[in-house]
Amino acid sequence: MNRWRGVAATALGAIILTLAAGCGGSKPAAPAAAPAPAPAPAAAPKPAEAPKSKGKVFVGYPSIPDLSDAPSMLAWDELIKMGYDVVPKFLATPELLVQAVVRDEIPVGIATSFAFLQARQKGSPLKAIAQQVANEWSLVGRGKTKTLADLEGAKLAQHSAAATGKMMTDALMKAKAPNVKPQVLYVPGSENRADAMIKGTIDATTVELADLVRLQAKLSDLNLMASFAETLPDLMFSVFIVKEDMIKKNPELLKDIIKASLQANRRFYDDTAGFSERVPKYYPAVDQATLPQVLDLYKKFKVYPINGGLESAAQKFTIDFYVDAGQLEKGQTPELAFDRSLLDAVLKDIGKK
Amino acid sequence: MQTAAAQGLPHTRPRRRRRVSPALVRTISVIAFLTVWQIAGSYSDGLSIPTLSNTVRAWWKLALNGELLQALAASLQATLLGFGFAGLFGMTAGLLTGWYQWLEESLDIYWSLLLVLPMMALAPIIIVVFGFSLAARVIIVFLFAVVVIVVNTATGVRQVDHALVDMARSFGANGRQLFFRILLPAAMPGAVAGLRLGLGRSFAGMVAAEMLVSSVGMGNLVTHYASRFEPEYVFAAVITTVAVAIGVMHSMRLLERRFVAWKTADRG
Repeated sequence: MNRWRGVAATALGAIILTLAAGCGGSKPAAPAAAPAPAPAPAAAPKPAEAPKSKGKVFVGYPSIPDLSDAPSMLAWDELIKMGYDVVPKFLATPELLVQAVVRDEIPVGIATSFAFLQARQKGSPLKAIAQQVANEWSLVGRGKTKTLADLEGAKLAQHSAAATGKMMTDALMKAKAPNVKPQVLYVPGSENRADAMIKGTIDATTVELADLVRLQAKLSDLNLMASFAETLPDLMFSVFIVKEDMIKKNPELLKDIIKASLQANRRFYDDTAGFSERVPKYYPAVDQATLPQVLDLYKKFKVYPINGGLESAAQKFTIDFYVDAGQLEKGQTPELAFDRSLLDAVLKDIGKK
Repeated sequence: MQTAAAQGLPHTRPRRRRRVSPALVRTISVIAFLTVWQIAGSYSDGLSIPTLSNTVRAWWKLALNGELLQALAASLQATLLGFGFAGLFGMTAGLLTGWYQWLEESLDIYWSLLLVLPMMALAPIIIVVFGFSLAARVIIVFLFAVVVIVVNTATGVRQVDHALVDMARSFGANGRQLFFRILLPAAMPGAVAGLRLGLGRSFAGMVAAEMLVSSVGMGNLVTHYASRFEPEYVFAAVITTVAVAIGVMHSMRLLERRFVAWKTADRG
């Protein structure tokens, strides 16, 4: 009997400890990711001297954030000044993010344009209301992998089968090297693919500007095979997405988010040095050595839309690109997928640059 | 015993107890499950739970265009290689660990560690060392399967009746005879149970590895269609994987009956 009492007491203690650990408050955990995930950024701070509270606002990100997400994270400061309690949610993939928005778990998400349009194709009632980031991607190779022809049998890493980077590469190869067959591997995360490139486990990959600069600094034999930022500037990479009814239900919240995002983007161009100092607050993993060079490229390619992006030409180009790539069925139109009404209202308020 | 009539009670026929066939119960439960699935899918948002009918259509398309067979072949390659190595290593290590107490005491902590370790946490390290290759996938499958094989085989050895061992020794059996005539047959039930469990874990490891490090196989099929919001194809791939795993594990049962027929015969 005593032995069973001891066993029961131990089991009860274990359960209590487990519950206590689970109930303990903590900042949002970094989402699961493939090799070598970057450290999760700090959670948005509470307002020091908050104006009248406007409540919590959840903003969803489709992966572990990187440098290109920095302005949208710095926009949290703008939202905090407006009285919001910002709660960022970092999900593992764009698909999870889209599903969270569809299920009303997150009112606003930042999704890749492809994931957004795919979900719309399946009947999800989503709209894109502003652009987050423009196209900043490049295709790079290492050593003997200099041209598209050199990709024959080479290990070419992409984010996933449905990644925009893969589609851009496929479109380029279809046009210029249709018979070349690389060995495609899937490695989620530009940073992880850059690491794999440095270690020599892959021969080519698509990377964001920040990782391009890092690779150029580390590898003497890096070859820039294509700059999609230059050749496909109208391809919208990531957009702010909401459920359609949210636009009517809570337009003021959405306008505040767009306004905060635009203000953060504009501060980047007006005060790039200040941006460098503010970035580590929400993105501690920033590489300070290469940051100035990266920011110059961001300015050159206008990666952060100062007027919210979503131009008519870009809307049409983005849809047509995916349709021509065979990834989207015909039938989606810019009018159905995109809604500029809130963005236009914000631009009327703060002016167009 | 008096009849009902003799007791003055109304006369009734004895009622026969109807025995419901287990096969009928199983069939009805499967039909009920499939019906609930179809209904749930029709109320879903289209991004998560597909209907049964869409899943069947998706499976058919994948089967016809060869994608399913190609993915299955790639997956089975990694699974069978990983499981094969795990089986060989696991049974050898299990037999030795079970027989030599000093070895058990030395290695037990490592088996316990591997039992509780989330294997996918090791995946990034495996990728760094072995790259994005078949070797990496095989190693992940191996790690998923090996520990249960070792532990079950060792348990099988420890449960060998020492009276048999003593008897064999008293009749002059040498070490080799002891091992092949007494130890191995007696430990077989535990070892085969471990192999069956290991096989199931091999399939789990295979899918997990392919979702992480590969552009081939069933895991990749799942990731590919999940990223395109096509859950019917995801379900089709998962169901195929499960069906193949069950089929292979059923084959293991036949193996079990062959090698431990004496054990199953004991149960009569």
